[in-house]
Amino acid sequence: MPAIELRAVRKRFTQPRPLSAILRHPLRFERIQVLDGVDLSVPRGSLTGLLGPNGAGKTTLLRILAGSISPDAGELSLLGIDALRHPRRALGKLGVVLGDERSFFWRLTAEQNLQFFAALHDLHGKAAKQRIRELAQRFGLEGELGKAFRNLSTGWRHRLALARALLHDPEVLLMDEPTSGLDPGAAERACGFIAEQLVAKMGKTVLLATHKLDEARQICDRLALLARGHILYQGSASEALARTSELYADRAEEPA
Amino acid sequence: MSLLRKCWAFVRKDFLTDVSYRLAFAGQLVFTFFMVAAFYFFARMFEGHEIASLAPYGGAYFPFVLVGVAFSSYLGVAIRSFADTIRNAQVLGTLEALLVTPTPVGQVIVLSSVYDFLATSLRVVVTLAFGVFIFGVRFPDANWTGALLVLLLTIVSFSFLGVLSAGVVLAFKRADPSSWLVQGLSYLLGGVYYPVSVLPGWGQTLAQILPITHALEAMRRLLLTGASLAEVSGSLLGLIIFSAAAGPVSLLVFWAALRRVRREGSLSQF
Repeated sequence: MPAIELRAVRKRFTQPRPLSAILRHPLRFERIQVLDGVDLSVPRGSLTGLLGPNGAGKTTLLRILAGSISPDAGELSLLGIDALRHPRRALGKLGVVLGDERSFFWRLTAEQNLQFFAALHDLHGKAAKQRIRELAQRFGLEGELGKAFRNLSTGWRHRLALARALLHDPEVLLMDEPTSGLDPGAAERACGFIAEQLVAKMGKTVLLATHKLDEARQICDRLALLARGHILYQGSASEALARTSELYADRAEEPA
Repeated sequence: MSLLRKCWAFVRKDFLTDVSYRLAFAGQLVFTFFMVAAFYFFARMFEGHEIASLAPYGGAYFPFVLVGVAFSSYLGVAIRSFADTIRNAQVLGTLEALLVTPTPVGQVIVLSSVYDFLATSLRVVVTLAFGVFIFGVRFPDANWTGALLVLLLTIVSFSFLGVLSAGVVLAFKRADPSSWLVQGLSYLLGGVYYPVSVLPGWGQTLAQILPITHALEAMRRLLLTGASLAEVSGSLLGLIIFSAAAGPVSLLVFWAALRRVRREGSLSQF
């Protein structure tokens, strides 16, 4: 049984229009097809990269998996759980690392942030403290726990986001551009950490959305190429990398 | 048990955030004192005059307005709190992080508002305490048990207005203009600063559909004249009918808004 399985997932968004356009044509809606029948299978214990250019639909796909966007059609299974019918159960098995570092409470310390999010996963009291200590040790965060989130560097914030996603010890992790905002050295260390700690040592399944080819090449054992709403290829990283030119085939006229 | 622990986590988080802005925290206390003092001196204009419209509430203006101002603050917090929770979390960027946990979205929003209600309760106590200990108001016959029941009913009925407003904010990413209308009408017609009986006929009729009218009527009679629950049963019924009508509508609007933003993918946009 794969860790994540998507079948024929479709998603179309209605484009916001200026008031003048709404007044001229109130019933004309402009829609864009972001995902058009996506089939994706992520094996357990793999580090799968979801590679695609900006706007390919990677974040939408992750948000559908995380339950914050409903698909128009399709099936979604997470460790055998129908994620559309039982979203809460599915979320209990899933850790989400958001690319957005604003997703913490800036006036609280790192530890207070983790305690709060632990409670949302039904981890309280001693059990929560123990889990936070374990994760802090693993992520080298011990010295940072007492600091206000606003005083942490971007690198530490990224680690804290990883620790938060692992509070409830999920089997599957979704990561959206996990190295965005990091300098090249920090990004390389973060990538190494994901591959060595999360996947090799802890045995997690990771689905990582990125538009960075180097990052995907460096750590992913499998790749899924997403463009124009379709998965163009999914399988071994080496074969996928030979086909990456297809990802950018229709983007020559876009602004740099 | 789990819900209580989650509730504590939200309250602790909001308390820690609040006290990290120490000056604002202290400023609220100072403002409350100034407000109570202002009403005290305003009320001195009426000393020695018998005002017929205040007779059902003990006859004195200062205790009347003190109770009105104190308990009307629940209306403001109930209407704003749920919507502000969503709006702030959207703007701060924490909403999505909260919603990718197994805690249901309804729980997240309700629990995020608990601290506001507790802080408002503290403000109500402080307001009344200033009135009692500094400006000499007395509640010798107060029916405190009845007042507590009315308070709970008041919070529930006001909260449905808040849930409705939260739905609008969720869907349209803007402050809900209808909430300002309800708040404005409540302060104009609900008897916060003056008895409803001084309003023209149409105003008195309109006031009956506002929950604040019934809440303040019951609260004043329980606290200022020691009325029994049976004596304020009309006001209790008003609050119950409002809750029964507004409750399903507000919940329906909220869930429809949530479905809409999930479909649009605009949950964390602002």
